Amino acid sequence: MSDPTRVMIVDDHPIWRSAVERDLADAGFLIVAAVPDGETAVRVAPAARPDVVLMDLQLPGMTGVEATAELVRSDPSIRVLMFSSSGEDADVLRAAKAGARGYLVKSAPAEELIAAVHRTADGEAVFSSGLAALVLGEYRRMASEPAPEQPVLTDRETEVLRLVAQGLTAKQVADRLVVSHRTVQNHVQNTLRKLQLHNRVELTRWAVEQGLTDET
Amino acid sequence: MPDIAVRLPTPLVAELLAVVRAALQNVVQHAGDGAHAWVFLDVLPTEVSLTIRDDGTGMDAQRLAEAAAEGRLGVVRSIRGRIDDLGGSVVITSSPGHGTELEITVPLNAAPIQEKRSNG
Repeated sequence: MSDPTRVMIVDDHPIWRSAVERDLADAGFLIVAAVPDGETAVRVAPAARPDVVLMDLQLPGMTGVEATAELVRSDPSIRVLMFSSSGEDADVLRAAKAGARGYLVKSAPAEELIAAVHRTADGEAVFSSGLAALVLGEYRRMASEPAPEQPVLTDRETEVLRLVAQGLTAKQVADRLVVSHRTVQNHVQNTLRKLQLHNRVELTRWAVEQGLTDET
Repeated sequence: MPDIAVRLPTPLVAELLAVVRAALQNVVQHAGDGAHAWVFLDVLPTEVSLTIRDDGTGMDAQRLAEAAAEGRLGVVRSIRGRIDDLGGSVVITSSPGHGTELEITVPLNAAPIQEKRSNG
């Protein structure tokens, strides 16, 4: 048997945290840390070595978006699964750009949470229809303000995102487009990866610009 | 920061909202208990695409045609009417057990058109 997936839970609500911890432990995951804020998550991650981080986006102090960016920056192999209430669209998009691999709403039942952590550990993107719509919207926004080096979606990627945004499961998308489930997953992951890569380029450029400004 | 809101002409927004309301009302009445519905709006440079999808009971093509013939598709007719007025199109896809999908496309005339050409 392979080693159990190591999970870190970052959530400021103690009752919620322990409930999630129990559900995941019962499902065979190894909970290596359950912490109340982003600062602690970033501090303990190198020792706890989580494979998957379940990150609440609404945290006191350091935000879930900042903590996601910091965790992924220090260890790009960490897979962050965002976990939040609805109505935080802008944060969800920011966290996705910062390197999160998927998104799950907090109202999701335990089975869905367990399946999502499994899929994240396997390297799949956990995409809700809402996240697909947000990502597609971001590409549409970029297309309306053309700039050099801006990522663009292929026609197929656009088609896949649109179908996921319409509530189809990856399997339903695969059936409709007559492609494999794996192909659909690849398309979805590509849309995120291009966005994340672009985000890193932008951040670097921004940092360089700030540096130049300081010298004047 | 990402701007998730989309900008559309006010009259078009009013029409699309009315269409979404009517379509969701239809889902509530016909899709059955436990059905989910998704509304997806996509704005392209030249057109707006609106999809209202449910995973409810659905119906086969024959029933859809019969219902239309007997005038039982009142909601769909009113949606078609509104969308026709906007120069758009409505495509209904449904099959038993696989829900119903309403795909609406409306041209965006507000977009600056530099050249208007007829392509036959």
